[in-house]
Amino acid sequence: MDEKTGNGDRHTVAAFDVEMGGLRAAVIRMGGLAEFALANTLAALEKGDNVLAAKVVEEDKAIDAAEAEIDQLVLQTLVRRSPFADDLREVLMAHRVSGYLERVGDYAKGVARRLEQVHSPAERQAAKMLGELGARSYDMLVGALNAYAARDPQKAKQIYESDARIDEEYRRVFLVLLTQMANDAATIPVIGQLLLAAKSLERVGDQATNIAEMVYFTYTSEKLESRHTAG
Amino acid sequence: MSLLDSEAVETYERSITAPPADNLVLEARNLDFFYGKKQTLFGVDLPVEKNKITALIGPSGCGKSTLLRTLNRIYELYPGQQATGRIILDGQDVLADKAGIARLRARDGDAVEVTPNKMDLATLRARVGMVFQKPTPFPMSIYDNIAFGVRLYKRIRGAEMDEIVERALRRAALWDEVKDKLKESGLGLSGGQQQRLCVARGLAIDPEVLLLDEPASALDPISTAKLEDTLNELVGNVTIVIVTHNLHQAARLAQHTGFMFLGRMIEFGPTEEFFSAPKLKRTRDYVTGRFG
Repeated sequence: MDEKTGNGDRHTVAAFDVEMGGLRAAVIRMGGLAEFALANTLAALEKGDNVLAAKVVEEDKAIDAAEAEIDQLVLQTLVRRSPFADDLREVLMAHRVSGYLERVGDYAKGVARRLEQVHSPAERQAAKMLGELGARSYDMLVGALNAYAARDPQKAKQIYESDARIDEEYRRVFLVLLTQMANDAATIPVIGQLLLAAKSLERVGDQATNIAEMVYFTYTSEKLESRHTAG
Repeated sequence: MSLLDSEAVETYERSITAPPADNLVLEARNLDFFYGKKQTLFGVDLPVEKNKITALIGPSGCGKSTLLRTLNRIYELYPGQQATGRIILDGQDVLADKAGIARLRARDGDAVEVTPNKMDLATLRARVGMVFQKPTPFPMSIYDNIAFGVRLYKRIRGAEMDEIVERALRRAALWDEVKDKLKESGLGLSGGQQQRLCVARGLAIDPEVLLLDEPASALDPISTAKLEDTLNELVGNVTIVIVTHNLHQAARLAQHTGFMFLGRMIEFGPTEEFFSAPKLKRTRDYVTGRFG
Protein backbone atom coordinates (compact mmCIF):
# COMPACT_ATOMS: atom_id res chain seq x y z
CA MET A 1 0.00 0.00 0.00
CA ASP A 2 2.51 2.57 1.13
CA GLU A 3 4.78 2.07 -1.82
CA LYS A 4 1.87 2.92 -4.10
CA THR A 5 0.86 6.08 -2.26
CA GLY A 6 4.10 7.76 -3.15
CA ASN A 7 4.93 8.88 0.36
CA GLY A 8 8.43 10.17 0.40
CA ASP A 9 9.48 9.55 -3.21
CA ARG A 10 10.22 12.41 -5.53
CA HIS A 11 9.40 13.53 -9.03
CA THR A 12 12.23 13.91 -11.51
CA VAL A 13 11.05 17.51 -11.89
CA ALA A 14 11.57 18.93 -8.38
CA ALA A 15 9.22 21.88 -8.94
CA PHE A 16 6.35 19.40 -9.24
CA ASP A 17 6.97 18.25 -5.66
CA VAL A 18 7.03 21.86 -4.47
CA GLU A 19 3.70 22.55 -6.15
CA MET A 20 2.06 19.41 -4.79
CA GLY A 21 3.33 20.31 -1.32
CA GLY A 22 1.89 23.81 -1.70
CA LEU A 23 -1.47 22.40 -2.75
CA ARG A 24 -1.60 20.01 0.22
CA ALA A 25 -0.63 22.81 2.61
CA ALA A 26 -3.39 25.03 1.22
CA VAL A 27 -6.01 22.31 1.75
CA ILE A 28 -4.78 21.68 5.30
CA ARG A 29 -4.94 25.44 6.03
CA MET A 30 -8.46 25.61 4.66
CA GLY A 31 -9.41 22.59 6.76
CA GLY A 32 -8.11 24.44 9.81
CA LEU A 33 -10.31 27.45 8.99
CA ALA A 34 -13.43 25.31 8.53
CA GLU A 35 -12.73 23.37 11.72
CA PHE A 36 -12.23 26.64 13.61
CA ALA A 37 -15.52 28.05 12.29
CA LEU A 38 -17.41 24.95 13.40
CA ALA A 39 -15.71 24.99 16.82
CA ASN A 40 -16.70 28.62 17.34
CA THR A 41 -20.27 27.91 16.26
CA LEU A 42 -20.50 25.08 18.75
CA ALA A 43 -18.99 27.25 21.50
CA ALA A 44 -21.52 29.98 20.70
CA LEU A 45 -24.25 27.36 20.93
CA GLU A 46 -23.02 26.09 24.27
CA LYS A 47 -22.52 29.52 25.84
CA GLY A 48 -25.33 31.39 24.12
CA ASP A 49 -22.66 33.78 22.85
CA ASN A 50 -24.20 35.78 20.01
CA VAL A 51 -21.09 37.91 19.55
CA LEU A 52 -19.07 34.81 18.80
CA ALA A 53 -21.81 33.63 16.42
CA ALA A 54 -21.58 36.93 14.53
CA LYS A 55 -17.81 36.47 14.27
CA VAL A 56 -18.27 33.08 12.59
CA VAL A 57 -20.57 34.66 10.00
CA GLU A 58 -18.00 37.38 9.31
CA GLU A 59 -15.04 35.02 9.03
CA ASP A 60 -16.63 32.73 6.46
CA LYS A 61 -15.16 35.02 3.79
CA ALA A 62 -11.70 33.69 4.62
CA ILE A 63 -12.90 30.14 3.88
CA ASP A 64 -14.31 31.21 0.54
CA ALA A 65 -11.00 32.92 -0.27
CA ALA A 66 -9.11 29.74 0.63
CA GLU A 67 -11.28 27.76 -1.76
CA ALA A 68 -10.56 30.25 -4.55
CA GLU A 69 -6.83 29.91 -3.85
CA ILE A 70 -7.02 26.12 -4.06
CA ASP A 71 -9.03 26.33 -7.31
CA GLN A 72 -6.19 28.40 -8.72
CA LEU A 73 -3.49 25.99 -7.53
CA VAL A 74 -5.39 23.00 -8.92
CA LEU A 75 -5.78 24.68 -12.29
CA GLN A 76 -2.08 25.59 -12.38
CA THR A 77 -1.00 22.06 -11.52
CA LEU A 78 -3.25 20.53 -14.16
CA VAL A 79 -1.99 22.95 -16.81
CA ARG A 80 1.69 22.69 -15.92
CA ARG A 81 2.05 19.05 -15.00
CA SER A 82 -0.85 17.15 -16.59
CA PRO A 83 -0.56 14.69 -13.72
CA PHE A 84 -1.21 10.96 -14.03
CA ALA A 85 -2.06 8.14 -11.59
CA ASP A 86 -1.88 8.99 -7.87
CA ASP A 87 -0.75 12.54 -8.69
CA LEU A 88 -3.92 13.00 -10.70
CA ARG A 89 -6.08 11.53 -7.97
CA GLU A 90 -4.40 13.75 -5.41
CA VAL A 91 -5.04 16.94 -7.41
CA LEU A 92 -8.66 15.95 -8.02
CA MET A 93 -9.01 15.22 -4.32
CA ALA A 94 -7.70 18.67 -3.38
CA HIS A 95 -10.31 20.20 -5.64
CA ARG A 96 -13.17 18.12 -4.24
CA VAL A 97 -12.09 18.45 -0.61
CA SER A 98 -11.87 22.23 -0.86
CA GLY A 99 -15.46 22.21 -2.14
CA TYR A 100 -16.58 20.08 0.81
CA LEU A 101 -14.78 22.38 3.24
CA GLU A 102 -16.40 25.42 1.70
CA ARG A 103 -19.76 23.81 2.47
CA VAL A 104 -18.69 23.05 6.03
CA GLY A 105 -17.95 26.77 6.34
CA ASP A 106 -21.38 27.59 4.97
CA TYR A 107 -23.10 25.21 7.38
CA ALA A 108 -21.18 26.66 10.33
CA LYS A 109 -22.16 30.15 9.19
CA GLY A 110 -25.80 29.07 8.72
CA VAL A 111 -26.00 27.58 12.19
CA ALA A 112 -24.36 30.71 13.66
CA ARG A 113 -26.95 32.93 11.91
CA ARG A 114 -29.78 30.90 13.36
CA LEU A 115 -28.23 31.16 16.83
CA GLU A 116 -28.42 34.94 16.59
CA GLN A 117 -32.19 34.53 16.90
CA VAL A 118 -31.95 32.54 20.13
CA HIS A 119 -32.48 34.82 23.13
CA SER A 120 -34.57 33.60 26.07
CA PRO A 121 -33.18 31.10 28.62
CA ALA A 122 -35.72 28.50 27.42
CA GLU A 123 -34.60 28.97 23.81
CA ARG A 124 -30.96 28.64 24.88
CA GLN A 125 -31.80 25.45 26.68
CA ALA A 126 -33.41 24.11 23.50
CA ALA A 127 -30.37 25.15 21.45
CA LYS A 128 -28.07 23.19 23.79
CA MET A 129 -29.84 20.04 22.68
CA LEU A 130 -27.81 20.33 19.47
CA GLY A 131 -24.57 20.11 21.46
CA GLU A 132 -24.04 16.37 21.16
CA LEU A 133 -24.87 16.34 17.45
CA GLY A 134 -22.45 19.23 16.93
CA ALA A 135 -19.72 17.46 18.88
CA ARG A 136 -20.08 14.28 16.85
CA SER A 137 -19.97 16.19 13.57
CA TYR A 138 -16.94 18.11 14.76
CA ASP A 139 -15.11 14.92 15.75
CA MET A 140 -15.84 13.45 12.37
CA LEU A 141 -14.60 16.51 10.51
CA VAL A 142 -11.38 16.57 12.53
CA GLY A 143 -10.93 12.83 11.94
CA ALA A 144 -11.39 13.24 8.17
CA LEU A 145 -8.93 16.15 8.07
CA ASN A 146 -6.40 14.16 10.06
CA ALA A 147 -6.76 11.25 7.64
CA TYR A 148 -6.14 13.71 4.80
CA ALA A 149 -3.05 15.20 6.45
CA ALA A 150 -1.69 11.75 7.31
CA ARG A 151 -2.64 10.33 3.85
CA ASP A 152 -4.09 7.41 5.73
CA PRO A 153 -6.80 5.48 3.91
CA GLN A 154 -7.50 3.17 6.86
CA LYS A 155 -8.16 6.11 9.15
CA ALA A 156 -10.38 7.55 6.43
CA LYS A 157 -12.34 4.32 6.26
CA GLN A 158 -12.95 4.39 10.03
CA ILE A 159 -14.26 7.94 9.79
CA TYR A 160 -16.46 6.99 6.89
CA GLU A 161 -17.98 4.17 8.89
CA SER A 162 -18.67 6.35 11.94
CA ASP A 163 -21.22 8.44 10.06
CA ALA A 164 -24.06 6.31 11.44
CA ARG A 165 -23.46 7.81 14.90
CA ILE A 166 -24.39 11.22 13.53
CA ASP A 167 -27.49 10.05 11.74
CA GLU A 168 -28.67 8.39 14.92
CA GLU A 169 -28.14 11.53 17.01
CA TYR A 170 -29.77 13.68 14.37
CA ARG A 171 -32.92 11.55 14.47
CA ARG A 172 -32.99 11.79 18.26
CA VAL A 173 -32.61 15.59 18.31
CA PHE A 174 -35.17 15.97 15.55
CA LEU A 175 -37.73 13.95 17.50
CA VAL A 176 -37.11 15.82 20.76
CA LEU A 177 -37.39 19.24 19.16
CA LEU A 178 -40.43 18.26 17.16
CA THR A 179 -42.33 17.01 20.20
CA GLN A 180 -41.27 20.15 22.07
CA MET A 181 -42.73 22.28 19.30
CA ALA A 182 -45.92 20.26 19.21
CA ASN A 183 -46.47 20.76 22.92
CA ASP A 184 -45.51 24.40 23.10
CA ALA A 185 -46.62 26.52 20.15
CA ALA A 186 -44.69 29.55 21.43
CA THR A 187 -41.41 27.79 20.66
CA ILE A 188 -42.28 27.12 17.01
CA PRO A 189 -40.33 30.05 15.44
CA VAL A 190 -37.09 29.36 17.28
CA ILE A 191 -37.28 25.56 17.22
CA GLY A 192 -38.03 25.73 13.52
CA GLN A 193 -34.66 27.50 13.20
CA LEU A 194 -33.00 24.92 15.44
CA LEU A 195 -34.32 22.05 13.34
CA LEU A 196 -32.69 23.61 10.29
CA ALA A 197 -29.50 24.12 12.32
CA ALA A 198 -29.58 20.44 13.29
CA LYS A 199 -29.88 19.51 9.63
CA SER A 200 -26.81 21.67 8.86
CA LEU A 201 -24.78 19.92 11.57
CA GLU A 202 -25.81 16.55 10.20
CA ARG A 203 -24.68 17.78 6.78
CA VAL A 204 -21.25 18.63 8.19
CA GLY A 205 -20.98 14.93 8.97
CA ASP A 206 -21.80 14.17 5.34
CA GLN A 207 -19.00 16.46 4.16
CA ALA A 208 -16.60 14.71 6.52
CA THR A 209 -17.74 11.40 5.03
CA ASN A 210 -17.13 12.76 1.54
CA ILE A 211 -13.62 13.89 2.50
CA ALA A 212 -12.89 10.47 4.01
CA GLU A 213 -14.14 8.79 0.82
CA MET A 214 -11.85 10.94 -1.31
CA VAL A 215 -8.83 10.22 0.91
CA TYR A 216 -9.53 6.50 0.69
CA PHE A 217 -9.90 6.63 -3.09
CA THR A 218 -6.79 8.74 -3.59
CA TYR A 219 -4.50 6.39 -1.73
CA THR A 220 -6.04 3.04 -2.68
CA SER A 221 -7.65 3.88 -6.07
CA GLU A 222 -10.67 1.98 -4.77
CA LYS A 223 -14.03 3.43 -3.90
CA LEU A 224 -15.82 3.02 -0.61
CA GLU A 225 -19.43 2.16 -1.24
CA SER A 226 -21.25 5.48 -1.33
CA ARG A 227 -24.00 5.89 1.20
CA HIS A 228 -24.91 9.49 0.50
CA THR A 229 -26.74 10.71 -2.52
CA ALA A 230 -26.75 14.38 -1.57
CA GLY A 231 -23.74 16.42 -0.53
CA MET B 1 18.42 -22.95 -30.74
CA SER B 2 19.51 -25.54 -28.22
CA LEU B 3 20.84 -22.70 -26.11
CA LEU B 4 17.27 -21.62 -25.48
CA ASP B 5 15.66 -25.02 -24.98
CA SER B 6 17.34 -25.56 -21.66
CA GLU B 7 16.83 -22.04 -20.38
CA ALA B 8 14.44 -21.48 -17.50
CA VAL B 9 11.38 -19.34 -18.10
CA GLU B 10 12.05 -15.95 -16.63
CA THR B 11 9.50 -14.55 -14.23
CA TYR B 12 9.19 -10.96 -13.00
CA GLU B 13 6.51 -8.83 -11.42
CA ARG B 14 4.03 -7.96 -14.09
CA SER B 15 0.34 -7.27 -14.51
CA ILE B 16 -1.35 -8.13 -17.79
CA THR B 17 -5.04 -7.35 -18.13
CA ALA B 18 -5.85 -8.71 -21.58
CA PRO B 19 -8.99 -7.97 -23.59
CA PRO B 20 -11.31 -10.99 -24.08
CA ALA B 21 -9.51 -13.69 -26.10
CA ASP B 22 -12.20 -13.64 -28.81
CA ASN B 23 -11.42 -9.96 -29.53
CA LEU B 24 -7.71 -10.43 -30.12
CA VAL B 25 -6.36 -10.16 -33.65
CA LEU B 26 -2.66 -10.25 -32.83
CA GLU B 27 -0.95 -11.71 -29.84
CA ALA B 28 2.63 -12.02 -28.70
CA ARG B 29 3.24 -14.55 -25.95
CA ASN B 30 6.39 -15.20 -23.98
CA LEU B 31 8.41 -13.50 -26.71
CA ASP B 32 12.21 -13.28 -26.46
CA PHE B 33 14.42 -11.36 -28.84
CA PHE B 34 18.15 -11.54 -29.45
CA TYR B 35 20.61 -9.25 -31.18
CA GLY B 36 23.29 -11.87 -31.56
CA LYS B 37 23.85 -13.16 -28.04
CA LYS B 38 22.41 -10.08 -26.42
CA GLN B 39 18.83 -10.65 -25.31
CA THR B 40 16.62 -7.54 -25.58
CA LEU B 41 13.10 -8.94 -25.04
CA PHE B 42 12.28 -11.23 -22.12
CA GLY B 43 9.05 -13.24 -22.11
CA VAL B 44 6.97 -10.39 -23.49
CA ASP B 45 3.18 -10.75 -23.69
CA LEU B 46 1.20 -8.37 -25.89
CA PRO B 47 -2.50 -8.97 -26.51
CA VAL B 48 -3.78 -6.71 -29.30
CA GLU B 49 -7.51 -6.12 -29.57
CA LYS B 50 -9.08 -6.05 -33.01
CA ASN B 51 -9.89 -2.63 -34.49
CA LYS B 52 -8.65 -0.78 -31.41
CA ILE B 53 -5.54 1.28 -30.69
CA THR B 54 -2.90 -0.27 -28.45
CA ALA B 55 -0.09 1.99 -27.22
CA LEU B 56 3.36 0.92 -26.03
CA ILE B 57 5.24 3.24 -23.72
CA GLY B 58 8.50 3.02 -21.81
CA PRO B 59 11.91 4.68 -21.53
CA SER B 60 14.36 4.64 -24.44
CA GLY B 61 15.87 1.23 -24.99
CA CYS B 62 13.07 -0.63 -23.21
CA GLY B 63 12.36 -2.77 -26.25
CA LYS B 64 9.12 -1.27 -27.50
CA SER B 65 10.44 -0.61 -31.02
CA THR B 66 12.06 -4.04 -31.06
CA LEU B 67 8.71 -5.58 -30.17
CA LEU B 68 7.07 -3.69 -33.02
CA ARG B 69 9.81 -4.83 -35.46
CA THR B 70 9.23 -8.39 -34.33
CA LEU B 71 5.50 -8.33 -34.99
CA ASN B 72 5.98 -8.13 -38.76
CA ARG B 73 9.42 -9.72 -38.79
CA ILE B 74 11.24 -6.64 -40.07
CA TYR B 75 14.25 -7.95 -38.15
CA GLU B 76 14.63 -11.01 -40.40
CA LEU B 77 16.74 -9.06 -42.86
CA TYR B 78 19.47 -8.73 -40.27
CA PRO B 79 21.75 -11.68 -39.59
CA GLY B 80 22.06 -12.65 -35.94
CA GLN B 81 18.70 -11.22 -34.95
CA GLN B 82 16.23 -13.77 -33.73
CA ALA B 83 12.82 -13.86 -32.10
CA THR B 84 11.65 -16.90 -30.15
CA GLY B 85 8.32 -17.49 -28.52
CA ARG B 86 4.96 -16.98 -30.08
CA ILE B 87 3.24 -14.43 -32.27
CA ILE B 88 -0.23 -15.28 -33.49
CA LEU B 89 -2.08 -13.30 -36.14
CA ASP B 90 -5.73 -14.27 -36.47
CA GLY B 91 -5.01 -17.81 -35.31
CA GLN B 92 -1.99 -18.25 -37.57
CA ASP B 93 1.51 -18.62 -36.24
CA VAL B 94 3.86 -15.84 -37.35
CA LEU B 95 7.01 -17.42 -35.95
CA ALA B 96 6.18 -21.16 -35.64
CA ASP B 97 9.07 -21.53 -33.25
CA LYS B 98 8.99 -25.01 -31.71
CA ALA B 99 11.39 -24.27 -28.89
CA GLY B 100 9.44 -21.10 -28.08
CA ILE B 101 6.19 -23.03 -27.96
CA ALA B 102 7.78 -25.57 -25.64
CA ARG B 103 8.84 -22.76 -23.30
CA LEU B 104 5.39 -21.25 -23.50
CA ARG B 105 3.89 -24.58 -22.47
CA ALA B 106 6.27 -24.69 -19.54
CA ARG B 107 4.91 -21.32 -18.48
CA ASP B 108 1.24 -21.38 -19.47
CA GLY B 109 0.39 -25.09 -19.48
CA ASP B 110 -0.46 -27.80 -22.00
CA ALA B 111 -3.44 -25.98 -23.45
CA VAL B 112 -1.03 -24.05 -25.69
CA GLU B 113 -1.61 -25.36 -29.20
CA VAL B 114 1.11 -26.15 -31.71
CA THR B 115 0.62 -24.81 -35.23
CA PRO B 116 3.77 -25.67 -37.14
CA ASN B 117 3.32 -23.57 -40.27
CA LYS B 118 5.22 -20.32 -40.35
CA MET B 119 3.44 -17.48 -42.09
CA ASP B 120 4.85 -16.37 -45.43
CA LEU B 121 6.68 -13.05 -45.08
CA ALA B 122 4.97 -11.25 -47.96
CA THR B 123 1.56 -12.27 -46.62
CA LEU B 124 2.56 -11.12 -43.16
CA ARG B 125 3.74 -7.70 -44.41
CA ALA B 126 0.52 -7.20 -46.35
CA ARG B 127 -1.51 -8.00 -43.27
CA VAL B 128 0.66 -6.08 -40.82
CA GLY B 129 1.77 -2.68 -42.16
CA MET B 130 4.24 -0.32 -40.58
CA VAL B 131 4.81 3.44 -40.37
CA PHE B 132 8.13 4.69 -39.06
CA GLN B 133 9.28 7.54 -36.86
CA LYS B 134 10.68 9.57 -39.72
CA PRO B 135 8.31 9.98 -42.66
CA THR B 136 9.59 7.77 -45.47
CA PRO B 137 7.76 8.73 -48.66
CA PHE B 138 9.26 7.17 -51.80
CA PRO B 139 10.88 9.65 -54.23
CA MET B 140 7.90 9.53 -56.58
CA SER B 141 4.54 11.23 -56.99
CA ILE B 142 1.96 11.31 -54.24
CA TYR B 143 -0.24 9.04 -56.35
CA ASP B 144 2.52 6.52 -57.02
CA ASN B 145 3.57 6.46 -53.40
CA ILE B 146 0.29 4.71 -52.74
CA ALA B 147 -0.17 2.84 -56.03
CA PHE B 148 3.34 1.34 -55.83
CA GLY B 149 2.61 -0.79 -52.79
CA VAL B 150 -0.82 -1.81 -54.05
CA ARG B 151 0.64 -3.08 -57.35
CA LEU B 152 2.94 -5.40 -55.42
CA TYR B 153 -0.03 -7.26 -54.05
CA LYS B 154 -2.81 -6.89 -56.59
CA ARG B 155 -3.35 -6.54 -60.32
CA ILE B 156 -5.31 -3.34 -60.56
CA ARG B 157 -6.46 -1.37 -63.61
CA GLY B 158 -6.33 2.44 -63.95
CA ALA B 159 -9.73 3.63 -62.75
CA GLU B 160 -9.83 1.13 -59.96
CA MET B 161 -6.39 2.25 -58.81
CA ASP B 162 -7.61 5.87 -58.77
CA GLU B 163 -10.34 4.79 -56.39
CA ILE B 164 -7.94 2.92 -54.11
CA VAL B 165 -5.58 5.91 -53.99
CA GLU B 166 -8.41 8.33 -53.21
CA ARG B 167 -9.87 6.06 -50.56
CA ALA B 168 -6.50 5.61 -48.84
CA LEU B 169 -5.82 9.36 -48.90
CA ARG B 170 -9.28 10.07 -47.52
CA ARG B 171 -8.85 7.54 -44.72
CA ALA B 172 -5.55 9.19 -43.83
CA ALA B 173 -7.31 12.60 -43.88
CA LEU B 174 -4.96 13.88 -46.55
CA TRP B 175 -7.19 13.89 -49.63
CA ASP B 176 -8.42 17.50 -49.40
CA GLU B 177 -4.87 18.77 -49.10
CA VAL B 178 -3.38 16.86 -52.02
CA LYS B 179 -6.21 16.08 -54.46
CA ASP B 180 -5.07 18.83 -56.85
CA LYS B 181 -1.42 17.79 -56.87
CA LEU B 182 -1.40 14.01 -57.02
CA LYS B 183 1.31 14.04 -59.71
CA GLU B 184 3.68 16.13 -57.60
CA SER B 185 6.45 14.52 -55.60
CA GLY B 186 5.60 13.17 -52.17
CA LEU B 187 8.83 14.74 -50.95
CA GLY B 188 7.34 18.21 -51.51
CA LEU B 189 4.78 17.74 -48.74
CA SER B 190 5.23 19.05 -45.19
CA GLY B 191 6.50 16.63 -42.54
CA GLY B 192 3.02 16.09 -41.17
CA GLN B 193 1.56 15.51 -44.62
CA GLN B 194 4.39 13.11 -45.46
CA GLN B 195 3.61 11.09 -42.35
CA ARG B 196 -0.08 10.93 -43.24
CA LEU B 197 0.97 9.91 -46.77
CA CYS B 198 2.86 7.02 -45.20
CA VAL B 199 -0.24 6.11 -43.20
CA ALA B 200 -2.26 6.25 -46.45
CA ARG B 201 0.34 4.04 -48.12
CA GLY B 202 0.04 1.56 -45.30
CA LEU B 203 -3.75 1.61 -45.43
CA ALA B 204 -3.96 1.21 -49.21
CA ILE B 205 -3.17 -2.50 -49.02
CA ASP B 206 -5.92 -3.00 -46.41
CA PRO B 207 -3.78 -4.38 -43.60
CA GLU B 208 -5.44 -5.88 -40.56
CA VAL B 209 -2.87 -4.28 -38.30
CA LEU B 210 -0.95 -1.05 -38.69
CA LEU B 211 2.20 -0.63 -36.60
CA LEU B 212 3.33 2.93 -35.90
CA ASP B 213 6.73 3.64 -34.40
CA GLU B 214 6.79 7.13 -32.86
CA PRO B 215 4.84 8.52 -35.83
CA ALA B 216 4.44 12.02 -34.36
CA SER B 217 7.83 12.58 -32.78
CA ALA B 218 9.05 14.74 -35.69
CA LEU B 219 5.78 16.64 -36.10
CA ASP B 220 4.60 20.00 -34.76
CA PRO B 221 1.50 20.10 -32.52
CA ILE B 222 -0.95 20.85 -35.33
CA SER B 223 0.37 18.07 -37.56
CA THR B 224 0.34 15.78 -34.53
CA ALA B 225 -3.31 16.65 -33.85
CA LYS B 226 -4.19 15.90 -37.47
CA LEU B 227 -2.39 12.58 -37.35
CA GLU B 228 -4.12 11.65 -34.09
CA ASP B 229 -7.42 12.65 -35.60
CA THR B 230 -6.68 10.33 -38.49
CA LEU B 231 -5.87 7.46 -36.17
CA ASN B 232 -9.04 8.04 -34.15
CA GLU B 233 -11.07 7.89 -37.35
CA LEU B 234 -9.52 4.51 -38.12
CA VAL B 235 -10.63 2.93 -34.82
CA GLY B 236 -13.30 0.38 -35.61
CA ASN B 237 -11.80 -0.45 -39.02
CA VAL B 238 -8.11 -1.07 -38.49
CA THR B 239 -6.10 -2.41 -35.58
CA ILE B 240 -3.31 -0.04 -34.59
CA VAL B 241 -0.28 -0.60 -32.39
CA ILE B 242 1.57 2.63 -31.67
CA VAL B 243 4.88 3.17 -29.91
CA THR B 244 5.12 6.61 -28.35
CA HIS B 245 7.25 8.58 -25.91
CA ASN B 246 4.36 10.96 -25.39
CA LEU B 247 2.34 9.62 -22.48
CA HIS B 248 -0.53 11.97 -23.16
CA GLN B 249 -0.67 10.80 -26.73
CA ALA B 250 -1.08 7.24 -25.45
CA ALA B 251 -3.71 8.40 -22.96
CA ARG B 252 -5.60 10.31 -25.67
CA LEU B 253 -5.47 7.70 -28.40
CA ALA B 254 -5.27 4.20 -27.08
CA GLN B 255 -7.85 1.85 -25.67
CA HIS B 256 -5.10 -0.35 -24.22
CA THR B 257 -1.63 0.62 -23.05
CA GLY B 258 1.45 -1.44 -22.27
CA PHE B 259 4.44 -0.27 -20.26
CA MET B 260 7.78 -1.84 -21.12
CA PHE B 261 10.97 -1.68 -19.14
CA LEU B 262 14.32 -3.40 -19.69
CA GLY B 263 12.83 -5.63 -22.38
CA ARG B 264 9.88 -6.76 -20.24
CA MET B 265 6.19 -6.03 -20.58
CA ILE B 266 5.63 -4.81 -17.05
CA GLU B 267 2.01 -3.74 -17.16
CA PHE B 268 -0.69 -3.95 -19.77
CA GLY B 269 -4.31 -2.89 -19.38
CA PRO B 270 -7.17 -0.58 -20.35
CA THR B 271 -5.73 2.91 -20.87
CA GLU B 272 -8.08 4.68 -18.52
CA GLU B 273 -7.12 2.53 -15.55
CA PHE B 274 -3.51 2.42 -16.67
CA PHE B 275 -3.08 6.19 -16.29
CA SER B 276 -5.44 6.82 -13.39
CA ALA B 277 -4.58 3.86 -11.18
CA PRO B 278 -1.68 1.75 -12.47
CA LYS B 279 -1.37 -1.59 -10.72
CA LEU B 280 2.40 -1.69 -10.29
CA LYS B 281 4.74 0.78 -8.67
CA ARG B 282 7.15 0.74 -11.63
CA THR B 283 4.39 1.83 -13.98
CA ARG B 284 3.19 4.45 -11.58
CA ASP B 285 6.72 5.83 -11.15
CA TYR B 286 7.09 6.08 -14.90
CA VAL B 287 3.75 7.72 -15.71
CA THR B 288 3.99 10.20 -12.83
CA GLY B 289 7.53 11.24 -13.73
CA ARG B 290 9.36 9.67 -10.80
CA PHE B 291 11.76 7.66 -12.91
CA GLY B 292 15.52 7.89 -12.49
